[in-house]
Amino acid sequence: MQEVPKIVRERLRVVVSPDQHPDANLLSAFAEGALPEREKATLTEHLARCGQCRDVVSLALPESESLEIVPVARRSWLTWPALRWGFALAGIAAITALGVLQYRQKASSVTTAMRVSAPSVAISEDKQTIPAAPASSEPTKESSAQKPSDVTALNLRDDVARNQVNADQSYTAANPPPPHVLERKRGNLVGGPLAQSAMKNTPAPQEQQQAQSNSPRTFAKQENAAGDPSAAPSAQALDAQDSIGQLDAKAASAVNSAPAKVDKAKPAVGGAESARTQYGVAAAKAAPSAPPASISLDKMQLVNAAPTSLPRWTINSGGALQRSFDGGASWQDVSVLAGSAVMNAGVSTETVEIREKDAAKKMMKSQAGPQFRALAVNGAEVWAGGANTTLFHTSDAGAHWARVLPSDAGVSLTGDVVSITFPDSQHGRITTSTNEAWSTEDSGQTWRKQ
Amino acid sequence: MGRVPQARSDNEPCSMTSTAQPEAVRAVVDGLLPELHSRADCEKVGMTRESFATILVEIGVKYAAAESPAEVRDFLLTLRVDELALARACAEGNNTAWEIFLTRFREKLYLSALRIAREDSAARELADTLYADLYGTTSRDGRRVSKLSSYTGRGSLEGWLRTVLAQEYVNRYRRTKRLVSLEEESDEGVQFQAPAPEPVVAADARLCRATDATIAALPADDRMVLSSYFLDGRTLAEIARMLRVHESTISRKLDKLAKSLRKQILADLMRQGMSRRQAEEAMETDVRDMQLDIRRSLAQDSSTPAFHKKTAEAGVREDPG
Repeated sequence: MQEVPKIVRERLRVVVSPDQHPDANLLSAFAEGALPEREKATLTEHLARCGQCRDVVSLALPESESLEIVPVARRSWLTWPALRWGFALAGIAAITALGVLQYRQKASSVTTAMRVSAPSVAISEDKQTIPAAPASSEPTKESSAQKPSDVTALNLRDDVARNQVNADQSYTAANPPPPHVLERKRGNLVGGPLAQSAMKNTPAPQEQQQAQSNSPRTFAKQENAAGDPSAAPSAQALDAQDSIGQLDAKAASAVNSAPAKVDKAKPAVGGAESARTQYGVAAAKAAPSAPPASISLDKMQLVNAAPTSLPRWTINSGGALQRSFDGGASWQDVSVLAGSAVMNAGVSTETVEIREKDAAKKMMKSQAGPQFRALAVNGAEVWAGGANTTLFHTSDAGAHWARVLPSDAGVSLTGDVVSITFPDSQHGRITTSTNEAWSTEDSGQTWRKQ
Repeated sequence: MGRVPQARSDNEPCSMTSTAQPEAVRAVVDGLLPELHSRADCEKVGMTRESFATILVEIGVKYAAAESPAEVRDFLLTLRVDELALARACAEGNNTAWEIFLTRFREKLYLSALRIAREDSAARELADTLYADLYGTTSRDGRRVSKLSSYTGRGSLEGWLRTVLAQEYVNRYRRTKRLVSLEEESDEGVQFQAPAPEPVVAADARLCRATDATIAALPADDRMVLSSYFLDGRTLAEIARMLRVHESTISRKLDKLAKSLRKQILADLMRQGMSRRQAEEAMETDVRDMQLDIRRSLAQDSSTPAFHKKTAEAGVREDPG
C-alpha cells in the first residue's frame, strides 16, 4: 500500500482532541450502525480527532460484525447473471442444432433409400444386417430354410473390414449383384470359426468365404437374404418387417430369386413411426419356430430412432456400438443405456425384474458407456456384449434395448462377454473372459451355465 | 501534560445532543405511550406507565435532533424500549428485573470483558467492576446510583454494556501508560533501546500549513481512516469493521488518499510560492529529524499506541503530570 507523506502523519497527531466525548449510548449505537446519518457524521468527525474514542468503538464492536459485512468488491463479469443465462441458452441452442442436424441426416438417408426404385436388397455390405426375420407366418421357415448361422459371433478388432466393403454399387433386379458380391457381403457378416461353420450352410462361393474368413470383423446375418436364392422367407421376412420396407421386401425377393445388386444399405424405404411398431412386432414374430425375443416391447423405452430398415452393425475400436443405414458410409453411435430395462434372465420368464440397479445405474451414468466386445445380429435382433457382464439385446434393430443378466440357480454371469453366437433367434451361446459358457434356448429368457 | 482525559460520564450532557421542547416531546410520548409501554413489557418488570413516560421524555429531550413532532415520534420508535425498561427497572432495584438481567447478560458481560481484556483474570476484574457499577453499590442523596440509569435504548443493551466495558478498559490502560510485556516485545520484534539524541530541525511552516489545510479538507471518514491506520496502527480489517464496510474498501481508500494527499500538498506549496522542486524537497524531508511537540501530540491521544498494540517511539518523554 502506498504510504502517505510523513508530514501527514505528523500533522494528524497534532489535531486537537475534543474536550467532550460522546456517551456510551452514542458510541454503542455507532458501533451497531444504529445512528441516523446526521448523528453518524457528527460522531465520525469526533472519531477522526479522538483516538481514545476510536479505541472504545473498536473494542465495543460486536464480535460477529466482520461476518456480516458484505464485500463490495467488483463482481467478475462471468458472474453477471445475464451472461450466465446467455451461456446456458447458447448451450441449449447448440444441442438443439445438433439434434436437428442428426435428424436431417437420418431423414436424408431414408429419402435417399426411397429413391432407389429397383428392389434393393437390404443387405449390408459389411455391417448392415439384412432383415432375416421372416414374415409373421414363416419365421420358422426362414430360419430353417435359410442356412443357419445368420448370426454368428463377431471378432471385433478394428474397422478394416469396413473398408473392404464395396458399398458403392447399387444393384437392382435388372442389374443384380454378381454372386461374389453377394457372397462377400454375406461372408463379411460372419467371422471366426462359427462364421465358417455358418458359411458352410450357405452356398457361398469360395472367394466369398475366403473374404469372409479374412475379414477381421464380420457381422452375422445377411447370409440368408444374401446367399440363398431359395430363401423365400427372407423376402417374407422383409415383408413382415416392412411397413416401411417395401423395397426391402422386394429386394429380398430379388435376392432370393436372383442375385441382386446389393444395396449399399441405404435404408430401403422410409419408415413411418408406425412402421416401427409393426417392424418390431414383425421382427418379434420373425423368429422361426419360436417366439420372438423374450423382452416385451413395453418394457423397453425408446433410446434410438426407429430404424426404417435394418442397419449394419459394428463395434468400433473404442468398444462403442454403432450402426449404419447407408451401407457403412456413415456410422452412428448407438446408446443402449438410456431408458434400457434390465432383465434378470433366468429368474422369471414372465416378468422383467430389475436386478443390480446400482450396476446398471453406474453404467448409465458412465460417460463412456459400456465397452462392447462381441456382437451377434439376426435380422432386427441384435445381441451385444462386452466388459463387466455387459449384455444387451434388441429385437427392433436398436430402437429399444434391454440389458440381460444371465443367471442360473443363483449364479450369475461374470467377466467380460467375449463372444456371442445366435444361430437363430432362439438359441444362443455366450462365452466370457472368465471361461464361462452360457446358453439359452428361448431367446435369452432363461440361461444355463455350461 | 499527559493527563489522560477520562471517558465522559454518561450522566453528563453530550455535546452532540440538542434539546427539544419538553412539552412537545411529552405530547409525542403520550401519544405513543400505550404502544411503547406494551412493547417494553413494563408490567413484567414492574414499571408503571408514568415512570416509563418520564424516561421517554428525558431521552427525547436529550437526543431529539429536531423539534418536529414527527421526527421525535420516529426517534422514539427506534428506541429499544424493552431493554430500556429492563435497564431502568434494574437501576430502580427491581428484583424481578435483576433476575431477568442476570439471566440474559451475566455471561455475555463476562465474555465481552474477556474479549476486551484478552486475559481471564483481567476480564473477571473488569466485569466485576462494571457489575458493581451496574448494581449501584454507591448511593447519592440516599438513592442508589446505578450506571444502568444512563442507558437510553439508542443501541442494544448488550452493545451498551460492551461500550461501557471498553471505556473502563481504555481508561485503565491509558492511566497505566506503558504496559509492556516481554513476550509482546519479542513477538513484535521491538527491542528495548535507549533513544539516541537527534538533531532538532524545525519543520517548514509552509509545509505544515499546506498539510494541515489538505487534511482539514478531507471528509471526516477519510481522516478517521488515516488516523486509525497511521496513528493507531489498526489493521484494515479493524477499520473496516468500525465503518461497517469491506476491508477492500478501506484498502482502496487508503491508496487513493496516499496519492491525492501528496498531490494536493505539492499543489498547495506551489501556490504558496514554492517551485515544484522546492516543494518536493520539502515533502521528502524526514520529519524524524524535526523537533516534535510531544505535548500537542499527546493532546490528540492518538500518538499513544492503541492499547492492544505496543509501539516504541523514539524520543518520547513522559510528563509526570
